Amino acid sequence: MSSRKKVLLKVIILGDSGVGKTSLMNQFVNRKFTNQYKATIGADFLTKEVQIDDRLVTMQIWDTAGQERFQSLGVAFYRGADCCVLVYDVTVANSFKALESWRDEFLIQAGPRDPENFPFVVIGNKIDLENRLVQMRKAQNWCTDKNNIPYYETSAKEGVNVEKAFETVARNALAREKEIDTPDFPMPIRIPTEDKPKDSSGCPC
Amino acid sequence: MITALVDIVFDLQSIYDQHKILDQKVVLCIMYECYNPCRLFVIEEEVREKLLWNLKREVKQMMEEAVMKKCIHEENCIITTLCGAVEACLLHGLKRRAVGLFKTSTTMALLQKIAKQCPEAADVVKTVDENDSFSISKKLSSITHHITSIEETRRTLKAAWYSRYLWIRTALINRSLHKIVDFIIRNALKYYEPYALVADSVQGPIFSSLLAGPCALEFTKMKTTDHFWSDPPAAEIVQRHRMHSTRQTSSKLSPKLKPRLQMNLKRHTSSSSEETRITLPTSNPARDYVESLHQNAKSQLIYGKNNVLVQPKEGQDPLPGYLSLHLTNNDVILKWTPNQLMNGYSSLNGSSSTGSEISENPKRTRCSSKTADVLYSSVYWDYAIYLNMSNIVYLHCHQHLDGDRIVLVAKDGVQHPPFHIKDKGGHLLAFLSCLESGLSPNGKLDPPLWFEKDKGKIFPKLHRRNDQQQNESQVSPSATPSSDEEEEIGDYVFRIVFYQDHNMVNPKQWQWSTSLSSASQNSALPLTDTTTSSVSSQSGSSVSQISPLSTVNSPSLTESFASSSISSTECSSGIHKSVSVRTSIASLCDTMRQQILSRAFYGWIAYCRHLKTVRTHLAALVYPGTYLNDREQDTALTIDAWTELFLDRQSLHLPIDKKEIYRRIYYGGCAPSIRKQVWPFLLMHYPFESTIEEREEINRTTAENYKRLAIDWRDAEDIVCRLDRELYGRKGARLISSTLDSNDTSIVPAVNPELITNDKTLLIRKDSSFSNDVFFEDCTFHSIVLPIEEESSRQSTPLCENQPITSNSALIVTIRTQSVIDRASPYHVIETSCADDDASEILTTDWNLQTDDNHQTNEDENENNDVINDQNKEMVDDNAQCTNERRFHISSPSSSLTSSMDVYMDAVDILQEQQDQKSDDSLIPVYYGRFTKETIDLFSSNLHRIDKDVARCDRNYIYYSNLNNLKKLRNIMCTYVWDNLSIGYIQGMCDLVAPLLVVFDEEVITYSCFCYLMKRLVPNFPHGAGMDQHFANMRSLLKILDSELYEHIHRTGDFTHFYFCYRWFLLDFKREFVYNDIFRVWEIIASARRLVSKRFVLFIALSMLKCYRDIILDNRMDFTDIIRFFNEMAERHDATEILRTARDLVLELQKVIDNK
Repeated sequence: MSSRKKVLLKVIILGDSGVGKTSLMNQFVNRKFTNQYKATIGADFLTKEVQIDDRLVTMQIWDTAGQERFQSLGVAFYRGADCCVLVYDVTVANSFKALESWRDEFLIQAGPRDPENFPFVVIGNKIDLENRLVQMRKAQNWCTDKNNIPYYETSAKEGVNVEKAFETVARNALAREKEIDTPDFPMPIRIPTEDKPKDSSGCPC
Repeated sequence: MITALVDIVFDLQSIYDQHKILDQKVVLCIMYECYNPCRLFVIEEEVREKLLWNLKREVKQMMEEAVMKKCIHEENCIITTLCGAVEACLLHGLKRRAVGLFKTSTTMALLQKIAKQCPEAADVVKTVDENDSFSISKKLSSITHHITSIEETRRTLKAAWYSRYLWIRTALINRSLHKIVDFIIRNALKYYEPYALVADSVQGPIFSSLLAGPCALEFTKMKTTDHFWSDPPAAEIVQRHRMHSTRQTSSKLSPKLKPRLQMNLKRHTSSSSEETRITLPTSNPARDYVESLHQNAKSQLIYGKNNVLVQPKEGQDPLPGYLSLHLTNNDVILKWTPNQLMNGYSSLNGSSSTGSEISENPKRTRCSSKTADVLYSSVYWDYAIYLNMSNIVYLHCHQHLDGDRIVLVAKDGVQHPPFHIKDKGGHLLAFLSCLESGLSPNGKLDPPLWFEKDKGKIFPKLHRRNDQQQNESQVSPSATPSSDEEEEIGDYVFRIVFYQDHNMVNPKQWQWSTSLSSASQNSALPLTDTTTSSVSSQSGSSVSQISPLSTVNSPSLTESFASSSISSTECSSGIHKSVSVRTSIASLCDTMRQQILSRAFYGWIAYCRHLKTVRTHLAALVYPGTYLNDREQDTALTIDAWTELFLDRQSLHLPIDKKEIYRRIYYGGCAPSIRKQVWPFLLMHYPFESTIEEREEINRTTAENYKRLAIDWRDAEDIVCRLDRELYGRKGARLISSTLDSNDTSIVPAVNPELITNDKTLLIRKDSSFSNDVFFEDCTFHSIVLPIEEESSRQSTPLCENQPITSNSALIVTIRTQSVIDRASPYHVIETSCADDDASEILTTDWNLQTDDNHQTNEDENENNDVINDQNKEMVDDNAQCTNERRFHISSPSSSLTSSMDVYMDAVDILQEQQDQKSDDSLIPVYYGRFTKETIDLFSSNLHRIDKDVARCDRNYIYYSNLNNLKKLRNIMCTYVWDNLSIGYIQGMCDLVAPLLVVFDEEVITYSCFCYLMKRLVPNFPHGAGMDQHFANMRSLLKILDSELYEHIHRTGDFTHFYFCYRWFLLDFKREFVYNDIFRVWEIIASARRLVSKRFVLFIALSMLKCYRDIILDNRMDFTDIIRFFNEMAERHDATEILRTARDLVLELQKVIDNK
């Protein structure tokens, strides 16, 4: 019964309302963009299988409501997250400023092991718009300050860079999972350890 | 290639779009009609069109799928539905004797007929014959009569379903279907009646060309390793469910649903005996089951051992099977699956190769030639064992020469058949240590396994000392007579203890069990090795013949079986231990008594709890004793009824039967045309008792109040705008001055209006280029500032006259652009007559620079400002449009703008005029008018949120594609938030206003009704307690009304397990239904409030769950699956059905409450 462990990566998308979280998710999963999205209420998620090197992983991407007020509700969904995507709108300065609090809040609520190295990815969305307000350098600096968070600039509308950003999400989440899981993965299976040499001969499997 | 095909399909789609939608059922009806020649001529044309339309729809769906996923899996249900559509087309008008005198007119027969001339058809026939599926499906259908098991019938039916369109499917996958159809069309006259679709000179070729697309697709059989984990979309799940459930349940739908809704006390108190035979899931059960044995996302495989023997039935040989332990959420699950199910039938039935395919994939029974296998597999399913270890109390281990045996005894005393591990080599120990570690967080083995340095886990040793030193105790060393190997041979009883059980366990019982174990040295209790071995080959003990299975079959007797078997064995084998036997019998009787008592006690407790739930939680949910007579259920509140019940009576000053009106709405809803009249009563804007004058008075005061609030918040809005401008303007100015030539910054020339206009038009054009995308709506105004600066700085070189723009004038330009983008500001220009009055008082003094255009518009506005009047608005609109058109003509005559954009541009333009006026005072010092800074700050943040959400509220709904209506929505929203600034704007409020506004199409009354609505709904929003109450109520309700589903949800979710209801309750189901249904749902909620229940929403939620309960259970959806399912199902629900069920549920709960 050797079945390779299924990898399910739980990804949370956070950011101010209207920065394009739902659009990003849908662009990545369905390669679709419509201008019909409504404000997300509650939470929704989509799954997508991606291949990272030789591994197939399923990404479960959670889209949350953007108003801070709903954050208390998001807590239930934050738990067990493998990666967190912070999104801001390059044309709205405040949405960039809010990244800090989104990040902190996430770390408090989700309480991941080793919060220092928890994988985040920052996405500056809507680069297709001309009225850009947050300069790339500024965002890049912020990300470097925060323990070198990978930074991408995307356009969910035109599908620019979205794939790449989420690949990094998957890659970093996977890397972390390996790191964390390797030590305790064999823990539950205590049968074939060194104290049972007979097993190998006795079992006709 | 594929996209090109899709284009073709879309073209065809547009040709046929005028036809009505019809579903599969209609096609079936049509097919039936086709066989009925006398009625045919009446509908033939229509039928042809419908057939073709249906085919087109299927093709389109498949092409879309193909584009999305690159290739289509062969088992995708889309293929089956497409095949169905093709079959229906081909059957239409097929001559009765076309394919031979004695043959029936099936498409397969037709295919065989044309195979002689058409090579593609010949290929397909060959492939189909090779598969030999037809003989199978016939055999299958013949044996279905003999099979009683529903499961089995279902599976066979599925196979029949699958093989029905086999040739079409084969041809499609061979990519020759369109050629075959083409051939048939060319030779249509031979086989078809003249009216047939295929024979039609236009539709026939369309039919075949439609199929060309699907025939070019890639189909794949390949399954990635993770294939099964990729979740199908909700629509597919529902369709699958419908496909295999309609046939078997349609006839007995109501009886099937009914019993499940009864309260299920029995299951609560004890369920372990029921769990031994799992009812397998309906959708591809075998595959799912085998799949579930693997390690997967939901459960962890902690032990696996093959060839473990179990004797499932008396008189049958023990079967080898796969024994595994799985760690799910908190439970340890033990599964034993006969090898036959794991690897096919190789070991037993000899049909080695074909059988395996069946067991893995029962859908594909067509591949098998042995129908008997199907029968066998069902038997094996019955043998499979599925145990939750939390229901197991004792674990007996017997070590024999011929291998180890494990016997599990459940809490209710049921003893399960022994697992016999023949292979030597410490498997038993391995099993135990795995089990122990699996139990470890919440439970343990008592006594625990020992740990030795070199060997790891070993059996506890105490019993050996016990054997040697404590001969006087009831257990003697002779109990293990055949102990050749001192270390290995021995029998043990382990007790499985769960920590949370400690609180529950009857203290006396606990005491007893400790005393018993203390009698055996607080450790393993050695037994005679003959005790429960069902295959007593060497022991010779007669008592041990008791078959374990008999105990399983008669659970009522088994209570004491585990212990009695011990005692009886001891009686027979050791006369010399009579004393100990007597004591042990006495203690056994004790146990039995205790167990019986405790079970009775727990049963009683459970019942009491149930009653308590009903009394405390649920009694308040419905109004008691208000059964509504179902007699006139269908009568809706029509126009006539409204006239009769209300208008006439009111004019005669007669009392109005409110209840009857509510009752009608509750059962049948309200006619759409009178909603505007009825809803104010429903939503408490007017009381029913009020006279016309009183209502006018209410309207007047509401309007006044509304106007007052509007004036206030518009003042505040102006201040907010100014502050924002200040903030961003200064920043912009600084940036500009740095980008422009430093010499120029010092000069402050008069603003050249022409220049501005020039710039403005430039900006408008720029805007128009992206105004039909989504993002412009979401932009807040400040977002536009920077690019403009860039623009102007870039322009500075080629356009000399732009050079003198100073920081000040550039700032004005940027501010104008803000308004172009900002959807917030345009509104108040058009609509804010009264507010503008006020605003202009403040602002006029500051206006010193106005272009001619601005003057004009301004005057217009001032004229119009006096009255709130639609006409005036239009006038302004018209006026603006003229200006707008003129300007566009000048600036960009070639710009092709859609009409909807024109509307938008209107607003933009007017706004610009306005902004021109205002912009000049942009640098005046910060002030907060008559408001405090806090108020302004608070309102400012709310305003931005409102603008974001108004812009994206229901923009696909026709009413809100009109910008004016969005403005109304925004006005209402702002007014409400202004009046309730402490609550503020919370996402979702827009959704609640939207349907009301659609009904009333008028601000004041919508506002008033919204306020009443919010009184009920505000607690649901974050930081209120309403949502938690809803969840708690849902929990209790579901527990009483559908305990099976409750258990399922409880098992698979954490504390958030009703989270999928969040949006339902927050928005009163607004996002779950399409607009027409929302109206019905809302008016029913409102009327139910007066009639049956204050919280009717709970019953709608429950009814939503109930409608999909089978899908949820069959697919074993967990918390996340359910969330996704309902999110995807949004706006696809059958509202009529859900509301009907909800009413039934209310009735049911009323009965439950009254019964006790």
